Amino acid sequence: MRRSIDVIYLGVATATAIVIAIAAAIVLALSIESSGVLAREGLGFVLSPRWSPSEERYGFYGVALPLVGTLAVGVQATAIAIALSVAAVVYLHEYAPRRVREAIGIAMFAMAALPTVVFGMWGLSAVAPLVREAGLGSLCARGSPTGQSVFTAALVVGLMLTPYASSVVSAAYDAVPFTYVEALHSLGAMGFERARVLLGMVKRSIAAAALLSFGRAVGETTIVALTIGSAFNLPLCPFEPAHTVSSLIASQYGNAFLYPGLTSALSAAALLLLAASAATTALGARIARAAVARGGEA
Amino acid sequence: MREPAVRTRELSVWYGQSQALHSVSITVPRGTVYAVLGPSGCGKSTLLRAINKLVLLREGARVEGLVEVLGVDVYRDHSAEEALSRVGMVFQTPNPFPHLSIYDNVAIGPRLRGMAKGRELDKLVRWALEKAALWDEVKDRLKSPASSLSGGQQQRLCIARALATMPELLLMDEPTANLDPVNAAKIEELIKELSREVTIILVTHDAEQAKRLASTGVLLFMGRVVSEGPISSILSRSYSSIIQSLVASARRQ
Amino acid sequence: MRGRSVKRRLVDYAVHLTTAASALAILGAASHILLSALVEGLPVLLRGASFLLNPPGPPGGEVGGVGPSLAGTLVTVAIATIASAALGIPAGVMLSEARGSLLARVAERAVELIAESPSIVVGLVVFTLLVVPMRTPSALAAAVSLSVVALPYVAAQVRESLAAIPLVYREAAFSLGLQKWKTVFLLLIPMNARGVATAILLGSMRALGETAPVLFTAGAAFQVFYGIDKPSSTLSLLIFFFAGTPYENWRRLAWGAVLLLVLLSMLLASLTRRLAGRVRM
Ligand SMILES: Nc1ncnc2c1ncn2[C@@H]1O[C@H](COP(=O)(O)OP(=O)(O)OP(=O)(O)O)[C@@H](O)[C@H]1O
Ligand SMILES: [Mg+2]
Repeated sequence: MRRSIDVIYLGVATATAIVIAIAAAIVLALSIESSGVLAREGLGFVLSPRWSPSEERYGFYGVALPLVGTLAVGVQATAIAIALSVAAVVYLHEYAPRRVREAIGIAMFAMAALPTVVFGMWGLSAVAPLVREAGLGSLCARGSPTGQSVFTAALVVGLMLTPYASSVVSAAYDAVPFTYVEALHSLGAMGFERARVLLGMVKRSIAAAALLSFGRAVGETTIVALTIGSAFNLPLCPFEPAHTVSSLIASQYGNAFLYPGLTSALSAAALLLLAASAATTALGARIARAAVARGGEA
Repeated sequence: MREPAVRTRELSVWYGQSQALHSVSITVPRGTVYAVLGPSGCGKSTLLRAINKLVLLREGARVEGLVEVLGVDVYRDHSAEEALSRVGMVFQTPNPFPHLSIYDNVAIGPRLRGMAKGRELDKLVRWALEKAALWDEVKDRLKSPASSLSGGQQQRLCIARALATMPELLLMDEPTANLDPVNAAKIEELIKELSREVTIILVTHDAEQAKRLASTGVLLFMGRVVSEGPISSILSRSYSSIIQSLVASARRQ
Repeated sequence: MRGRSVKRRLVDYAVHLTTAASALAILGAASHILLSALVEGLPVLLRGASFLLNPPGPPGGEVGGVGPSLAGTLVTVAIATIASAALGIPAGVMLSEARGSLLARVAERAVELIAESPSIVVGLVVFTLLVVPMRTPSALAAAVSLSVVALPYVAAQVRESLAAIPLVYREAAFSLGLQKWKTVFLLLIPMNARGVATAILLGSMRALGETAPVLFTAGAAFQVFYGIDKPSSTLSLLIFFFAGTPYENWRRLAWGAVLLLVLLSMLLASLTRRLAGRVRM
């Protein structure tokens, strides 16, 4: 009977198709754009430490140093976020009085709502001077004179990620059936002993939170660009300045028109970022979903 | 004569505004199986959890009255912790820690208390598993996760977990409610065996089970004691006499 | 020894202390950020109209205001909110109501991929696809970039809130004999207006806060708002650029912008929370 085309469906499908096209455009634009530099540099793009857009006609583009920087910031920020989150979740569930619980809930909510540039500004004006005054830079060979360093960036990014990571861990901790909590109490377990067993039950969710945090840390640009000190340096020591792939891209915003190979190189770097962030995030989300499907009995 | 295993006087429990137990006074003699009977929602689990203070874990829970466990007023005395460490509990749904091995599930209580280590702990675990009639079934896979056991085996594992702390009093909240008849019969057999050594408070809403296992007990109705005493006598009362005594006890308050 | 040994008590006390210290550190960091924004930003914000309307002062000179960047923020966030809602709501509907269909499955992957893309990556793509052909960064390019970043949040929220409609209501709606998609838009979406409103708010919150997507696309025109197809700037971009300058007046201006941005974000976040009862972080 119904002859007329379903107009509403057509609208919905069109909008959905545009969303799909946007995703495709991201991948295609990056791939096509980056082919130039990848053809020239090959594996050297990820293996070479030499980044010099102005040299010769095309320039040299190697992101090995920023890649190590990304890894360093990602790992340290994730470690900080997970350590803080797990500790906070244990404190809030096993020890904290109700008032404190509410206060920290509000703090987490506020932090989650803050734009990253606010964290960046704070990192630059409060954390970096602290790192400088504490003389941490002198612990490293090429220690940062400004206080902007891999550690500074990782600390601020880690704090930024904490509400997110702890919401994942806390949800899992809450989802452990109450009967296990009762069983632990009936065995006479104290706070840290209950926490140890319950954390063991949610370890998958903690792993998921770590992966999701790492995925976000890898892509984080604003905070890192403001606090890492932007230097081509192999950051083997955390109080030295460095670059991450994202801060490298950010630092080139004004130059993109200037050098023939630069846009291509930046796209290739962006493709790397996308791959790293997508892979860890997808894996993390999968583990998180599986953990939820198991009803917290991870 | 030794003091009773548990004595409550005028015990009342509230969850927020709603009262779950009304002036419950019971006496559980040592060395017996004591049944807590009554329809669903009458407060059996609440009574059990008031005895070992687990009830305080619930949001908004409040307890009034006296609860003496092994001679200690557990809501007021400083030695409450010590007394409660001699109380074990088995829950309605088997709840072994699924991520721990069979061995670790049994060992957790002794480990927390620092009761045994190494060889001695192995012996204690074996002893508890034998007491729970599970040893033969699991002795070859002590390291596999507890979640790999069947429901009946898991419940016996929970009994072993409680026994490993050498309790003098065992609280059992409908331990057979979620099991098939074969496994339920095994647990009943076990309860009979255990009752020679520990006092057991057994929550059940199955009158036949209470008759098979318990010598004395209490019948609750809507949070109030209807009658306490030998099982046969509390079960023989007619419905109308239950109503009468309820009305009477409500008037008294 | 049956009770709790001294050692256990000590360990428990130590764990209590360290975990409390961690929680306190989080609380302290959050308070310090907010207090810094307040202490440094309030004097600037209290300059009132001159802060909200004027352009920044010259380097080393007077403080001036964030007028052009505020205009740029309002325009780009408005466009991004509308665009991300226009695409994200139907996409979310598709994800929830045509679950399992080929289109929905592909769209699911697409939304995930956009969500997983670091926002600087989105900015760079818009740079190559829009800024290069237009030969200039613009408020429009910035808005497009922000729309893409906000899009997956809107779609995911709409999908979740539709999926959360209890089966009984769903059945009642579909039992009325309307066409499927009419039922969705005439009954299910209005039934769930809160969820959709939350989605739109989440999208605008995202667009308001992001800096990286506009870095390559907005330009850096802090002095004048030239119009939608011309170089422009946003509040977040102004903070990003002025935070690290050696000029005292620009840093103070950046703090004023921080406070303004914090207040706007908090406003949107509490609106969202009031609507949804929670906020996805
Ligand atoms: N956490 C709680 N909050 C509020 N009310 C509760 C809570 N737990 C139990 N109740 C109420 O207290 C009363 C007694 O509950 P309890 O679990 O002790 O009953 P029960 O006799 O064990 O029932 P069943 O046989 O179904 O296990 C019931 O009315 C129940 O609804
Ligand atoms: Mg019960």
